[in-house]
Amino acid sequence: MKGLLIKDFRIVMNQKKFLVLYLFIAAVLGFSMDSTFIVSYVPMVATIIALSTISYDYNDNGLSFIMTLPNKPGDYAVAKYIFSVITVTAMWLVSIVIQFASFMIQKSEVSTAEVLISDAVMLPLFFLILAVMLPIELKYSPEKARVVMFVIFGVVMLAVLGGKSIIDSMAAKGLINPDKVTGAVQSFSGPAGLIAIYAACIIALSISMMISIRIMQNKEF
Amino acid sequence: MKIIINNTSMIPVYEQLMDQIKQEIIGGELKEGDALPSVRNLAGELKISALTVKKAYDKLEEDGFTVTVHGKGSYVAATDIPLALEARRKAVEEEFSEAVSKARSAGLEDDEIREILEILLEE
Amino acid sequence: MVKLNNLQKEYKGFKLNVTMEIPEGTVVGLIGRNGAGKTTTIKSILGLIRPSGGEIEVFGKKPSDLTSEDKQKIGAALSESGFCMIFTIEDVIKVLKGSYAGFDENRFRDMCTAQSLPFDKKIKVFSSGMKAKLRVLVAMSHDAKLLVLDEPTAGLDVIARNDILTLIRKYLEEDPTRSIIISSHISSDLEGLCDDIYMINDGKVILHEDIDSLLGNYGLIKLSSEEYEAIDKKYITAKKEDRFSVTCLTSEKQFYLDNYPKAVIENAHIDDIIVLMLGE
Repeated sequence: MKGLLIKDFRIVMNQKKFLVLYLFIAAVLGFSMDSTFIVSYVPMVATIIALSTISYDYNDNGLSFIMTLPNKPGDYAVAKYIFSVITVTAMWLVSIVIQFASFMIQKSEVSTAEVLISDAVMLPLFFLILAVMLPIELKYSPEKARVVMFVIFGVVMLAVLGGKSIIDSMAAKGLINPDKVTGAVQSFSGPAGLIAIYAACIIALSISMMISIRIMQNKEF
Repeated sequence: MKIIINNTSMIPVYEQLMDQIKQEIIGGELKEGDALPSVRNLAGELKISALTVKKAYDKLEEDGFTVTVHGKGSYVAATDIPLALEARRKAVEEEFSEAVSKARSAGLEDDEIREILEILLEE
Repeated sequence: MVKLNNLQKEYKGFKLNVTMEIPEGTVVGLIGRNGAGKTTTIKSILGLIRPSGGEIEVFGKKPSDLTSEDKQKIGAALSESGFCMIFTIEDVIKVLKGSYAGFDENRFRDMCTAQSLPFDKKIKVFSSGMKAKLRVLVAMSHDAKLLVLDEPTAGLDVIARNDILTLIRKYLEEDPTRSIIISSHISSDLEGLCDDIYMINDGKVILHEDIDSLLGNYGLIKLSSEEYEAIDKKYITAKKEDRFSVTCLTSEKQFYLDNYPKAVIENAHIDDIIVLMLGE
């Protein structure tokens, strides 16, 4: 499996120009606007880059050759998960560093604890995206998967906006107490909530990986 | 060692190989104890199948010209050259005698048989 | 090393059923037209596709049961699949180093240099000859006991083909226990390399001979129509008539050499055999 991880790393390294551009944009945006944006932008780019290694593998029929390397088909799936998680987590850490650097430069007054907590909540979100997207990209060609990704994002955004407006309208009708809802959401920001979110995502990733391993074992190349 | 394979000849390649190696042994270019190239090496150089080379080597050993040491290769055997030559002469004589019998039973006269021989020797 | 027993694979409109063997230290050639089943056979040996019937054993196991250690002993070169196009040979070396315990980096570098392959350019810009050479060198880079080569010389000019065949011959010389299965539709390449030939057509093996018998016993006899009527057809396996003569294929050349000394008899090559066996 080491060879597969090295392969993915080399694919990413070969896109140095894009990486530099992305990080540059991140730095510019982060320093000029709300630096919290960086912590959602940079890991998002990392997710896309990690997923893109699958496109490179599938291109030009390359998967057939990859499967002649000394790995079992399931290893390919596991390597993708390991690579993606490491890449996203690493870039998330980098983005936090940039974020705090920009705080220092802008001499912003921030509550370190609050910022770190909101940063911490971002990471599981990306794990969730990986957990959903990896099996889809592995089963179907990456091009088809891209369409699915947009659809899912759309649905999620609608759910978030829709959910928010439902809550607002229910609150207006006096059906629920908005403070209680805010209280409930905020309880997730506490340590217990954080652990719960991380645990849920790790479980999601594990289930997703089991599914992906199955997908690769049933494929023909 | 010199080996030239004629791909358009009707003589099978392994036979050509055998004959040429035998010639070198009889002629003294290959001496007793000399190592023959490995099967794969000769096959690669001549661009022929290793099985063909192996067949030639096996037959050379059968005929007493070489000795194969398992794991090490084939070596020229200690052959008594005059004896080997004599044996070959005898074999050729026998084949000629067979041909003459065949010709005679086909109704050919001795003169006709000689004519055929002349023509063949000119080729 | 590899045994296929009535290996079957079905696709839409195509059915494969082949029986063959690759003994240790042998070079087996798979010859056939495009679409005959060569690549399907090769992919089955590599475990890339699963059989719909029959048995297949590689190193004594089903290909799907091969462990990572087992797969270290296999080197593959596929005709339409290789390393990512944006890789350079330096990237390839890093991946091979991390994948194969037996990868010999210095030797691989030397061989790439000997074949004039650039180390710092993306594979994308290689010529087809260079891409083909790289695929074969990669397969040979880690002391594999079994080389599986699918059309390694397809689309190449004669010099490039020769270079690749020479590489393969040297690989065999280094270790006589290595085995190779090589598929091609360029039969002259196979004639100078293989020990054993399987001819595949329409998913079936139509001919299996060792190269020695094939080149030694098979022959072409060219006759006029009248001569053809008169000749003993006991060992004629196929014929082809054209306007001025009849060409026959025999698997017992010596019989006709002995009995028809005046007839035009030529050595038959694999291409001749294919055309005569498959022609109408």
